[in-house]
Amino acid sequence: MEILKKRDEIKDFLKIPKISRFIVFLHAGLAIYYSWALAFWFPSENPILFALLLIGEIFHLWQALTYGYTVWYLNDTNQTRLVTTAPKEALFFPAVDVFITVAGEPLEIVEETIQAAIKIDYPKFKVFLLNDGYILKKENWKNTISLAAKYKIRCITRKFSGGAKAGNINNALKLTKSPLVAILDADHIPHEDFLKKTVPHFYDEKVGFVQSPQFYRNHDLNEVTRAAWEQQAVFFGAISISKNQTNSATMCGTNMVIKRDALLSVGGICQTNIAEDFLTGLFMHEKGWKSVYVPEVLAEGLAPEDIMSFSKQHFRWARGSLEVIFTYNPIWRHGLSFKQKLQYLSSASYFLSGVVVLLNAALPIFVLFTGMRPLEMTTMDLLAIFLPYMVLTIYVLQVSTNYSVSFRAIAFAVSSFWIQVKALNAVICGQKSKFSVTSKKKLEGNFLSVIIPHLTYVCLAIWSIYTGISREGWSASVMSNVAWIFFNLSMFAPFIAAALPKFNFFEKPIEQLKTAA
Amino acid sequence: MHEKSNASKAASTQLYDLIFLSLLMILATAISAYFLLHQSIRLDESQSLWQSSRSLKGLIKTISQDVHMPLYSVLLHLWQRLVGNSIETARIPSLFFFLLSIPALYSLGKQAFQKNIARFACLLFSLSPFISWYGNETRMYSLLTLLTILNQISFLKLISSLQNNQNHRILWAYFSLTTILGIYTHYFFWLVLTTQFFYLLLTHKNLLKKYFNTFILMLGIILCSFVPWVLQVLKVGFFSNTTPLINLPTYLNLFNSFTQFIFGFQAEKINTIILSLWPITVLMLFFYLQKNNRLDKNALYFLLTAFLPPLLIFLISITIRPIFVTRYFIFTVPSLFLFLSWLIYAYSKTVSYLLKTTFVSAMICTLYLQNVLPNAPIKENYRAAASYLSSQSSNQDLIAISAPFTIYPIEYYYQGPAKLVTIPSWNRYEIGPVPEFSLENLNSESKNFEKVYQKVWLVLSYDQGEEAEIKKYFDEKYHKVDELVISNGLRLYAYKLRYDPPVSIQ
Repeated sequence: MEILKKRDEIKDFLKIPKISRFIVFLHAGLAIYYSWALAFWFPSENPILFALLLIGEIFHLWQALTYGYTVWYLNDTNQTRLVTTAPKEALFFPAVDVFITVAGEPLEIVEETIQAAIKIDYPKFKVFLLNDGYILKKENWKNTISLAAKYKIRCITRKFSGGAKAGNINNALKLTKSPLVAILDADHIPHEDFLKKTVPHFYDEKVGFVQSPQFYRNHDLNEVTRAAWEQQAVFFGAISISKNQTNSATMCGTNMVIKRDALLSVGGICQTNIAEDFLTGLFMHEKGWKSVYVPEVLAEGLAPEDIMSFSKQHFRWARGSLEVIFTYNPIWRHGLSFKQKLQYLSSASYFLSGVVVLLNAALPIFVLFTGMRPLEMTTMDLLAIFLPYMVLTIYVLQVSTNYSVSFRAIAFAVSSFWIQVKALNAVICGQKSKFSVTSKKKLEGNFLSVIIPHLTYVCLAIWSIYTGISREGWSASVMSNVAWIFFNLSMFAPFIAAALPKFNFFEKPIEQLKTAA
Repeated sequence: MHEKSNASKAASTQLYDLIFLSLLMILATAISAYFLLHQSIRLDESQSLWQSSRSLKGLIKTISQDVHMPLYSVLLHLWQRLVGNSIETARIPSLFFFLLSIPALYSLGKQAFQKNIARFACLLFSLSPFISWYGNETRMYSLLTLLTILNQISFLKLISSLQNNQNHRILWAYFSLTTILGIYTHYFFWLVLTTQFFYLLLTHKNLLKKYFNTFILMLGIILCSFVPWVLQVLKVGFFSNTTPLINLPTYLNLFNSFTQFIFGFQAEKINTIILSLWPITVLMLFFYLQKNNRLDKNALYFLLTAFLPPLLIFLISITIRPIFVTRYFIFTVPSLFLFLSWLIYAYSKTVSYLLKTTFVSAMICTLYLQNVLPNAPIKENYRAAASYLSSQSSNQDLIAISAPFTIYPIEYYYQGPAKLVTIPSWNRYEIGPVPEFSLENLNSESKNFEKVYQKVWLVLSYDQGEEAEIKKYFDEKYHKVDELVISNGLRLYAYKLRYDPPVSIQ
């Protein structure tokens, strides 16, 4: 009973939250007021620091306004949107090819997915195992073929490399023919009703793809999985539900069904970017296809279980999304509506926040080292304009996410700043990045390399505090900058702790998790 | 068997709470007895003593010219008739109200949340330097705090019973009675009512609609009870006697109020450190973000009652007229502690434990610093000033006191032969405001002083805007022979008026 209750609570993120538009409006007003006050109200002291502060604030304002714009549509979810779903009497059951993409994942994980896929409750579907183990030189590629044979499903093993997961799917598209294609990652176990809940949306002929949430069944394993899931919950809750209202659902690469014609109209899954799903969705929207987000858990996957896998996954997302800004900027894509452009741009630009976090974290250290400040203002003035804005931001975040957002999720997001900075550097310098599948098993080893920037920050923080106090004593300016450093360190703490060796104090046995799920 | 064990468990919890609350009350009494009860009289206290030493009729007349309400002064008057009018005994009723507030707060906290939250709020309340300061001051503040808590208990009980479709008259009466008593204790009690109305509007619109007539009837009774006082005030003229100078508040004053509620009155350096650490508050907000952490209705009630009154008065002060005085908001402190306790218990176990330890340690330290450090900004050592004057002044001297109303505490202790006058000159027994300061008047008065006295002792405290001018006048005109800083803002200067012996002594 307790387990069931817990499970229901976990899925609270899918409940459509009610947030007053007045509050959203007020929050936007406070965000503008705060940025305006920083930019124009107080005289600047050091022009370079002021410029850096301003860049950060403009970005925060952009995030606040686009988030407000996104959740604004939460209030419209009761209205019938753009898509007509199939009525029951229509007996709408187009054939579906279910693709399970495999890239050398452990066989027991793939087997679980196969077992669930063949049990899907739908009259016309075929399951295909898309085996990329051969070209990735994975030891178990042959065993994958045997596994497919065991369950009497077809295994498509690629022999020619190229395009990573996108190439694997595109290869399978050539060898299959059903009008609809469902895509599942190797670890994403579909529920029986997966197709019955998604396919009816294709009754509307303009629907190109239907996406469902990427739920992590191992979300309660350790701090990394918890953080990963809590971040997903915000995205697949309020944000995706709202995006759906403006026909801007994000394609996420798994737990989705795509119309073959729509996919072929954009040349298949995009192979030129490591965020292939995000870009394919954008191209489909550009071609005028509609999208649907179904806010129901219809498949359950695995979150990265260690900080290294988490970092790699986030690097891939960051790199792909930032490339969208620099190479396929939604602003210049003619087929997209204004709302779609805004949604794509706000999603992709999220990964620029790493640079802003770095700037904001560096600011108090710089002030303590040099005694120079960006603005001539008292700490009380800053408090007066910042605190109301921050209180309302937290309230909006809480209500709009149906109280599923957590400190841990934010702390991990903030602490991922270096991953995002590296991704931005890779995009700007045109470095090549390999598509790597997120590990489905916990990696063992020393992950201190992931937190070198954070540990450097700790050292610089101590040094700067010593310098600041030596120069000015316990002045108001020194103390408030010390407090900001403490704030940043507290934000980094869960991430640092997760990377430290033997960090498994809160780890639960996998058997217990399976029971809970 | 099961019922029996439940009953024994409940009895042991009750016993535990009884011991816990008794210990807190003993602790609060000990802190008061050791640090506060024997301190020098403060300006406001001397006014209270002076007012309550008059006849009941005279007292009402004096209070109605003041900016306060009469209930506390009437109680003090009766108390003084029983036990005399020394400052130490006059502080005992305030201490009594403070001590009673502890179990009352527990009852309020238990009603709104769980017992552990109520217990922690009581611990913070007992250790609060701000509360213990006013719990030992011969003023109405601890009575106001107690009545606010009692009023909030009745309010939440009333709302809860109405929600359960139980319309108990006794609760309406209890609420009305505590409201009327609260209003007759301090004008700012109206803010409690305003916040409660706002809370109902936000969260219980249905109850407001359903019981609209009863609410109106109750409001009518409360307003009617206030009418006699309004008539009395109108009869003698609005706040015509001692309206203190209240400066336009800044953000610093506003935020300072909240830190003072928790950490008391600290020396400037310590206060700067406390205020500058405000980004930690932002961090606490982020820590609060946890799955399904929601602001429940009772937490919202305490959030509103803790923060809305100061914010409202701050807005009024910067737009209409400055009326922002931190101690007037003492009635918001129980709500603040209950809200803080609720918040701390809403965090994860580790963060909650860290915060509890930090808060309690910080409050113990600041309680000690406030009461022990001589440069704490709240200290008013009129006893030391008067004692110095008593030993140094002669019948050929004059003691000139500014601001005029600070004559009360000096007069209380002063036992020397010199005459006490105020600058500007003021007759307290006459109805009407303190005369405005003018340099011409000071000049003509000082010429008269020169004729009669050899030395003038200038006692400056509670600057009403003219202190610098008075000091400059004496510095330029006379020879300064002595100078002493007694406590924060209380200074003594002696000037030689003439060098030949006086003609006569008046």
